[in-house]
Amino acid sequence: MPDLSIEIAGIKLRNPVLLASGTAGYGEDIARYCDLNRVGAIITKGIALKPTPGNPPPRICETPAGMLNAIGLPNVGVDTFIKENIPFLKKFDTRVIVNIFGATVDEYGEVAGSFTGVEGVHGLEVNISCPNIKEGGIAFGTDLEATRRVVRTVRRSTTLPVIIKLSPNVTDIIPFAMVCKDEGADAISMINTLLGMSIDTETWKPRLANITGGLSGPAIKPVAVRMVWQVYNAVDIPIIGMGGITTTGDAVEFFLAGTSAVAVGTANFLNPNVSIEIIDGLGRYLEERGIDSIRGLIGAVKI
Amino acid sequence: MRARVISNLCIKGSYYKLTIKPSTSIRAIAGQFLMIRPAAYQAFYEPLLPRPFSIHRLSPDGNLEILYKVVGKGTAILARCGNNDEIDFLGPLGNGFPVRLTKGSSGEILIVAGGIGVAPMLYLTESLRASCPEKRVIVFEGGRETVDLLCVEELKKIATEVILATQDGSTGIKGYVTEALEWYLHKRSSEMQATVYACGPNPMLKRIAEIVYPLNVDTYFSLEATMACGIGLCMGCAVKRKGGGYFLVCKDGPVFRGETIDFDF
Repeated sequence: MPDLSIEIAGIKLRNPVLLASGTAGYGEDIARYCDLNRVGAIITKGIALKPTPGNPPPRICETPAGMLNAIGLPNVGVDTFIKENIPFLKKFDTRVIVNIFGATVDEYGEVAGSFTGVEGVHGLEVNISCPNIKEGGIAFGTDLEATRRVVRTVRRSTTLPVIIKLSPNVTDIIPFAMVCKDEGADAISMINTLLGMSIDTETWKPRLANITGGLSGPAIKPVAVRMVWQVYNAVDIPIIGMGGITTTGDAVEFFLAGTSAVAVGTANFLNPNVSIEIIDGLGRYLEERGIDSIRGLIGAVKI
Repeated sequence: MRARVISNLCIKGSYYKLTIKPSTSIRAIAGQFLMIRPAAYQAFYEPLLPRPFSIHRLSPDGNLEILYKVVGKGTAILARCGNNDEIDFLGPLGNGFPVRLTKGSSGEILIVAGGIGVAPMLYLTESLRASCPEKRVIVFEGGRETVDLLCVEELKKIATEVILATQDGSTGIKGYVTEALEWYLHKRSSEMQATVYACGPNPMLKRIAEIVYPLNVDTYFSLEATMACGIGLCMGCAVKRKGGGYFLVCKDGPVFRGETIDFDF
């Protein structure tokens, strides 16, 4: 059997297929359909200091080969999450990466610090790229200096591995990846959703209450693959790739472009067991080609 | 889970009935739903997301029936599925309607269906007849015109009474189904107990909540919302909760007590 294991940001993963933040909740709901013992890691839905309710409906709509969402990061707050949700996740033999966000730089640091010494948390993914909340999120991820301040603050607040989730809504993503590396981030994950909008031609109203939303699904995959390839060639930092991964072939594309791991997002909505199918598919893909490790694919695109 | 299409027929207008045979047997209660995706179209991502449909009926031979109206891309593609085509589905999902009512309560059961909202109500009527055989079950069914009234003959066989309403007056009372309900409630004593089960467009449910507010009536509403997954992952199917915050239709519902929902969204 080919070796699917990988170490990224100092986190040892049994395989490089993760569940993307915001598409697997805090694990409870997807666990009934997907064996969490088999996934490389689960990246939990974004957590902030205090509970937040999320955006008013309608929150989602389908677009060609994709969907727009403006969920607005509903979250239970860090205290409840540690008390009630981490114990559930600890039952599984997998890695838990907690996605965090804040309204201010200090809040990012405070949330990150809350996980110091919390058993069952293996790393933090820092969301500086949510397009759907007024404060925080994308305001940090599209401004180089704000990105620098968030990464620096989080880095000082925790000894856990730090992964920064980047926004694709910038002209050139490479400087953002460089800032993450300079400030001591262990890895980056990319891409978050692309800012989009859809209008109902009967009512002439936006199809989301938030007016704009984040585009995800197969439609954004070429954008994600391009950005991964650009960053892989320019910055020496491990990449967790995501953006429309739905099949084994999609995942292979990301590895060839330069990711060390992949995360499955929107595809969990179509088939909550799809990550397991992709893990099995990757094993077969390598075996059929006589490649002994997933590492043989990373950045191997022939230009 | 996989199922095979047994039949997928246009009943009338843009209304269809899909019958599928699941690979393993399914038990479900009235008001639960399935997330459905025709297998043949998945490679093209058209549609990308599965669609939620309430279970219309479970047949004795283990088939699942879905009653649906073609309204957009997802239902148009579903309508193209032919016999023996494969369907992927998740379910049964959600809580369903409570059908075991307080014993000895003197109230009647009032079932209100608007348009395609009738889909889960035939099975609900059958379930209530079985669980509360002593109670009167009155069904109110409304639609824009006669073509929008489905299952009328089947409902007449099992309900104590079926009251119809159409907006163009072509069948039954001329007006909204909520006007028929209001008229019915006003001619009885306001002290009388009743349990209202309703499924239909949000403005209909909102109006029912207003009508029954001063009365001694329990309400169970089945809500509809756009959802991507049906199992609590996407958090897309939010509805406003009275007093703040949101429910997820897929996980917390789709059936809610009427007074817990804030319809002003």
